[in-house]
Amino acid sequence: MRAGESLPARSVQVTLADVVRWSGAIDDYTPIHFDAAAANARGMPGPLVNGTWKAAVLARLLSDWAGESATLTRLSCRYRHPDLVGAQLTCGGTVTAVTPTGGVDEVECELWVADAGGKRTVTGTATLRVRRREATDPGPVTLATEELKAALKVGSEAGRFTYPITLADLDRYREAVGDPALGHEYAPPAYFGVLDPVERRELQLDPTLDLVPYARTGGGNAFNEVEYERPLRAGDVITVATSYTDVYERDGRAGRLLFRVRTNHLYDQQGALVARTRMGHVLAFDLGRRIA
Amino acid sequence: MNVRYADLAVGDWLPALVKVPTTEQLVRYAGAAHDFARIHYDHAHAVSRGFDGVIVHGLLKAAFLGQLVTTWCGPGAWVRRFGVQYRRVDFPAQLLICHGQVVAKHEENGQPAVDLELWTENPRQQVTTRGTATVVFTTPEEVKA
Repeated sequence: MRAGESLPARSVQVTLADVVRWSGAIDDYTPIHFDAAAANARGMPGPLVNGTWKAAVLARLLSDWAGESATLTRLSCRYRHPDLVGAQLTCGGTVTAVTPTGGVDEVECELWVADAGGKRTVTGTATLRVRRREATDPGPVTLATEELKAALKVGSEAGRFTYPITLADLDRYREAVGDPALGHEYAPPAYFGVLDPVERRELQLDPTLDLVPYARTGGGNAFNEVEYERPLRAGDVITVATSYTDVYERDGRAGRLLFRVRTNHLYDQQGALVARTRMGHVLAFDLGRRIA
Repeated sequence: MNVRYADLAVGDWLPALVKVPTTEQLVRYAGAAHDFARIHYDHAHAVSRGFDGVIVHGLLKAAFLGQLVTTWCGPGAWVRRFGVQYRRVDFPAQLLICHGQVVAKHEENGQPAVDLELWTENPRQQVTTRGTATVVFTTPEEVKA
């Protein structure tokens, strides 16, 4: 977390059911929040969203963003404009300061709720206390050694494989997924995951992990991403060039995590680039259990 | 279903897609994707790795989110960018609900496009996969090869 960082904005549509639940939860039955006639009598076109509900949504935005290692210690909101029930609202925020104190960072944020026209109907500030991961001295131990990077050929092409795509392949995939769009000639968006030589065990650099002298305790795919120049389709013959682009480690709940990120370039039968993918894999190691 | 670009607004929800993956489905996916990692079909192996049983392929969850998007946008649009992060494991015979929401409307190379946030949720209402997609509202035939 750094000053200037934006919190991921989130959209919420407030329903009458939301505000009725909220009234029940906080035991506040002010009729302006659920009774249209009462709202009209006050000159409003309809029931108004509780300010405290909007504050709660901002608190949720913060806690979802900051995760389990953070505690929200202060939240202050100013209700600048009313919002009508049914409104489409967007919540967001920005980190304004990060102050380290002991093992904890004090993180100051500015928050806002905006209506569909972009008008800020709530502005607020908050303080989070975020525990820093204990700086256990990793000593000379690193998993992402130069030796491992060299074995994974980081930065240069590790292999090249060719996969024809038939309609039968696409339909077998759709049947497995439960996608009823059988017979459609264009490949589903996540089909890039099938055209990966590492998932298919055709490009196997796993023995390089024997270079890591610690007990492996878990792992799996961390992320998969694609950007297409055009959709893949039945009849394509795709050549995939794979390179490892990044090998790094950090501490996580499961121990020391080793990330290996590879990039695939997918070329069609004319040699044109069709897609680029990034595939991230993570392995957890117990640094307390050294193996020969 | 075919949504119309003009009708879309930031904040719109995609109709949720409900899945209950089965072990048969995992095996079918393993075959369709040529992904034979044992954690997805060998119970004893999964238990030895500390799980209660076999786990759903991350890329199958990605495929579910892909189905959520293509069912919603129909053949008049295509997915230009798509990405997922795996946050928690999911198990077969458990509810997996796929959600999506429009977070931006913009132009992509002069063509109408939307950005989506996507996620899967388990029966404890925890987000197990988080994703994003950019959908361009031209037919695939209109995309320059």
